[in-house]
Order: sequence, then C-alpha cells, then structure tokens
Amino acid sequence: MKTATRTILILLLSIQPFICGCPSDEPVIVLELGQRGPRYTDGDQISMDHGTVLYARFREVWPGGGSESIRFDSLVRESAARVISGSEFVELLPDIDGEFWFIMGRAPGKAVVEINNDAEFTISVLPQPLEPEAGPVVEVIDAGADAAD
Amino acid sequence: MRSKYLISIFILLAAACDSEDSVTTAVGELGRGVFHSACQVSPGHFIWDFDSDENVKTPCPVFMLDMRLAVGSIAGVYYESDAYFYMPFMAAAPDRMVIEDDGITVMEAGITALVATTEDYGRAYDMVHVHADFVDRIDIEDAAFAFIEGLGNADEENASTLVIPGSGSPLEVIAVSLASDGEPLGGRRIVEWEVEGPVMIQWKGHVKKLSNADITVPVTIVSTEIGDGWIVVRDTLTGIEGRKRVLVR
Repeated sequence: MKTATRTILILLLSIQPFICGCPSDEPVIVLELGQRGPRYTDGDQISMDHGTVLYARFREVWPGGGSESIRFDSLVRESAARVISGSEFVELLPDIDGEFWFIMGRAPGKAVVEINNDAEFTISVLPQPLEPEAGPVVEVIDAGADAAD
Repeated sequence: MRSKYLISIFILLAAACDSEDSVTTAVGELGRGVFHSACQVSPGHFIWDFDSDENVKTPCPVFMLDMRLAVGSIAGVYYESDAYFYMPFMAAAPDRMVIEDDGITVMEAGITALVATTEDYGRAYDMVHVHADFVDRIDIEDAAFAFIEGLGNADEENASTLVIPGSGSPLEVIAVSLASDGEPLGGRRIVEWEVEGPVMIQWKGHVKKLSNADITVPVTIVSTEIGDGWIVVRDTLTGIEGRKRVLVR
C-alpha cells in the first residue's frame, strides 16, 4: 500500500507542471530580434548579411506554462554578451538604453556570441549577393513599447 | 575640332538642399533622429541639406537617402536627434563603406548600415541601411528637361540627340550615373567631358533652383556654328562613357 501511494505521489508531482502551467526551475536565455521578433535559443545559428545590423536583445524565459509563461520573461539587461570567437566577423555594440544590442556583420564568417556564460549563439555573416534584394535585413520595430514587461 | 576638359564635377544626383519637401533626409530606423545627406564640394567641405540659400554658393548635388549610391562615389552624412545635435557614425562593415570627415566612400554594391553612436563610439543610438550599386552606364541629358521630369527620364527625342537651335546658343547638360536597371545613382564622382564638332563646353558651376529645389552642376554646351558633333562624358574611375550626338541647326 505504501508503495502504491508513493508511486501515485511521484506521478502526480511529475505531471504537476503540465496541469497547472507552472514554469520549470531553470530559465532559458533567448536572443530576440527586434521586439517580439523571432527568438533563438542556446546553440542556434543566426544568419545575417555582411554590412548589415541585427537589432536584438537577450531575455530570460521560463519554459512551460504556455502563454502564461510570458509573465516570467525578463530582460537580461546589460547582459554580459561577448563575442567569444570570430570577433573579426561580428561586433557587438550596446544600444544607448542598455536593453538592445546592435550586432554588426563586419565581414563574412562565423562568430559565437556568449551570454552570461549560459547560452551561445552562432552568428553566420554571409557575403551579400551582387544584386541584393531591396530593404534592410531586419525590420526594427517600435523601440520602447516593451518597457512594461 | 576636338577639345577635352577635365573637370572635377559632380555628376548630378538629384538634390534639394533646402526644400521644404526635401527627401534628402531619412529617419533613423529606430526613429530617434534623422540622417541628413550632403554633397562634398571639396575634400572635407560639405554642403548640407539644411543649409540656407545664402550658404549655398557652390554646386551642391545632394544624394537622397532613399536612392542608391554609386560604388566608388563619395557622399556626406550627418546625424542629429532631439537629444543630440550631432552624433558620429560608423559603417557596420568598414570594407563596404569608408567613413572619413563625415563623408562616406562607397566600396561595395549592396546594403550597408550606418550606425550613429555616442562620441566615444561605445554605444549605438540609431541606424540606417544605405543601398549602393555599380554604375552601368552614364547618360547625358538636357539639364532643363531632366530637372523638370526627373533624372533618367529623357524622352525619345532627347534620348539620342541633343538639339541646339542656332549658332551661339547655350545648352546645359548633365551627366547621370545609371544602374543596370536604369535608375539614377547618387554620390560624387569625377567625370571628364569631351566634345567633337561645332560645340565647346563651359562649366559655370552655378546653382540653379527650380520648383522642386533641385540644385545642379551642369556644363554648358555652346554651339559655334551650324553642324553636328558629339559630346562625351567619361567616368574617371571606371572609364565608362556616355555619348550623345549634338545637332546645331
């Protein structure tokens, strides 16, 4: 009987996060392009064109809980973002407000950006085609609208 | 009769140094300020789009930030915002655009971001992506016609022959750098003019203002007698030539 009770308790505890939508214990650092743009997680590779700029920020996200999890997002403000390899290909310049970063594609090649020793993103800077399509590579949206998060 | 003139002259780009409906500025992509464009009238000397009429005594072709720049050309850029009257800027890739004395020299075709920064270049503030393309050909156009209709839009008659009515009559012409798709390209370039036949060239270098506030750097073709000849303009960087028949009648 004791064994059965223990088994049921373990089962309940293991599925509890899925029932109540509670977040997991460990946050994940994401790279978010613009505001509410695509998000990338540890180990992801992001491509950009040589000579262009990605406007991005880093956030901590607690996975799990569906849409409820958004309230657990937090900005990695003044995050310790640094280029750990390929600094000749990518340069990071912090935005004046300390929230966003300008990721500049200095030369074709691959660089790895590390955040707080927790996450790494590979930035692949591609040579521009001879006849590039019109328009900037990344659409930048509505700076400042996110302050309430 | 054949004469050759080496003139440091700006190929006309389209300009609007002080027009109220100026299109020579571009709001930064973060909306924090404005990138102004300018012409470089001599090394280190720029005429900005916000200069007043009184200041504009020299030829002032200003490129538009929504047009493409010619590879190899030079243009001026200036950034200001409500918070900062002046901010330096840098190119996202220094091998694509070289920044010097507020001027940018275009090294590669494609898109390159200019990033406005704090004085110590330690933080970024705003940016604009500037387009550039190779010069495919150079067209010579009747300046008055081009100013009215817009660059690169010569009509059929003007497309092949420039007609000068009578000996002694002047005709202002401009050279326009064109991309392979026929669109005009901006940026200062040095060209060389050459004429054959009953015409000679004068470069007055004056400022001419029209309803859309274009400022031009035309050369003046003056006929010496009835007849026909040619006018040729050559891009000194690429060697690309534009040629047009001149008919004096």
